[in-house]
Amino acid sequence: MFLALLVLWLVFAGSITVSNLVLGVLISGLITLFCHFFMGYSSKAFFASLKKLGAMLHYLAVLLWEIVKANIAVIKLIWRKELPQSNLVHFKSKLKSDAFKVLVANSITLTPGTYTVVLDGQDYAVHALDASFNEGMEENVFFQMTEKMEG
Amino acid sequence: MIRLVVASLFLLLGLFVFFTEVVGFFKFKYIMMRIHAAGLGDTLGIMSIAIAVAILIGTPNAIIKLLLVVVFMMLTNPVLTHLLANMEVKLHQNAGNEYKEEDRA
Repeated sequence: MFLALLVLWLVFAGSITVSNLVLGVLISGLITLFCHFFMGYSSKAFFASLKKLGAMLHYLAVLLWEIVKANIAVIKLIWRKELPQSNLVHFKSKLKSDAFKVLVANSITLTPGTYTVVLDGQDYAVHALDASFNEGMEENVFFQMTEKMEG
Repeated sequence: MIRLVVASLFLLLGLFVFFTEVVGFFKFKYIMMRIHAAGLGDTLGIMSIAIAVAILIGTPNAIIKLLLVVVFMMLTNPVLTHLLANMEVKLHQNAGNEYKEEDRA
């Protein structure tokens, strides 16, 4: 995390000079220490999550493709004359960890045409612009991929 | 020259997406549906305009910064959309009249 923060700092600074480097090391170190003592950050968990990097990148690629597809569908709906029939679906997911639940909820919200209204424990409520977007929502590609990552 | 043409194509796509967003915003009469229209520009709109600017400028530094803009946009937007919708469902008495509710639990 220290290195990631330092790289981010150098990217924002735009050039690698001595003053940038010293200030960057100082600030990244302070933030890492703060997260370690007050926000429950541990380097072990961070490196463990790095092992899933391949799966996460695959997930990101699928997410981008879904966003493009959903955008085209919503643009078509907006330029049509009649108003779409929206609906709200309640369902339960099989996911266990909070991080994956939030990840899937955010992915659903990020794809236009659907967004998560309620996420409480296992319960999801998803609102769709057109009822057809909500078909098969509880076994869509995001749930399949995260369930595979959970093992 | 080719770079300019490709960049302007992406820029036009982004503008079209934002235009559609505004049209949808005024076409739909209800908050829960307007949120969907607003979600267009946050994703494809900002992405295509970032790609256009990245092609036009072309330095690695600028490309990384534009990538960060898109990533932060993608991280923060769903949270806000979710909060807005959640408040609407909880506070608006007649919210249920505007959509069908379905229970698959």
